[in-house]
Amino acid sequence: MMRRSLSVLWLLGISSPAWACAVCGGGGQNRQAFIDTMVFMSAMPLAMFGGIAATIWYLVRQASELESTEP
Amino acid sequence: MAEAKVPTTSMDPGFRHRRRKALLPDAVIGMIFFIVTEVMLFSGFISGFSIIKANAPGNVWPPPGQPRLPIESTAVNTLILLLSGAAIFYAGRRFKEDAPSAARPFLLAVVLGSMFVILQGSEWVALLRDGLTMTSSSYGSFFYMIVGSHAVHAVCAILTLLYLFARLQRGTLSSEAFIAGRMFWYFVVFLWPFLYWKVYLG
Repeated sequence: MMRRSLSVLWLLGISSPAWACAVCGGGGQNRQAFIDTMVFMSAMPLAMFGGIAATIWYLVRQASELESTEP
Repeated sequence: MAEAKVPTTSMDPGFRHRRRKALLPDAVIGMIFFIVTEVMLFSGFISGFSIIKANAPGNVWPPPGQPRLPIESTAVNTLILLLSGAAIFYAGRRFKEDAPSAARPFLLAVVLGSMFVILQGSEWVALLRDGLTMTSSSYGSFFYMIVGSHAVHAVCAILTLLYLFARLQRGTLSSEAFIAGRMFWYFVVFLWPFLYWKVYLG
């Protein structure tokens, strides 16, 4: 109970500076731009390395099939 | 009668060492990693540009008092660059069948790419004269940073293609080197329409 009360008090205490964050506190287009660019920058490396991994997997499978048909 | 043992290790008689062909040539792997890092570089540029645009005073973009970008002439320039990409693709097809026959489309790709860079340069001269500079506004600084970085990559790719063309003429161009060079050019070509959309049309 004591710990919960202290946590709530702490959150109330930091809430005011937290709204200085450009994403949380900024309105409208600014906030949306930050969210969009965060999603874009996070997705880009995942997409690229996923594509590379898929290509390598395909090449390995192709090579295995060729090896299995060789005499 | 005991069955003959199939040789599976180098200790077994009759074992044959077989050299496996590499799945991806080293040049191609290196170029893939280079392109991945450059894509992240441009992603960062575009992200910063998007945030600056969203924070424009009064949501007015481009900012007032700055010259407008030449959208129509750059659209023509974009087509020239895409044609260059098509030429290098055709050169790749010809190279597989008969290497010397790839010379003409290869040279066409280099010429078209050089035209793109020269025309972009002439547009820059006009924009600088009209007052859009690196320090005139955030619009100007982002424009020259993004488009300038692409131009640097285009120039380096053209120099790479010229080197590969020289090797093709001498008959010493390997398919791995040609693939890697073509990948670099495809990166430059296909990145540009995205930059045109975000910077010129955005």
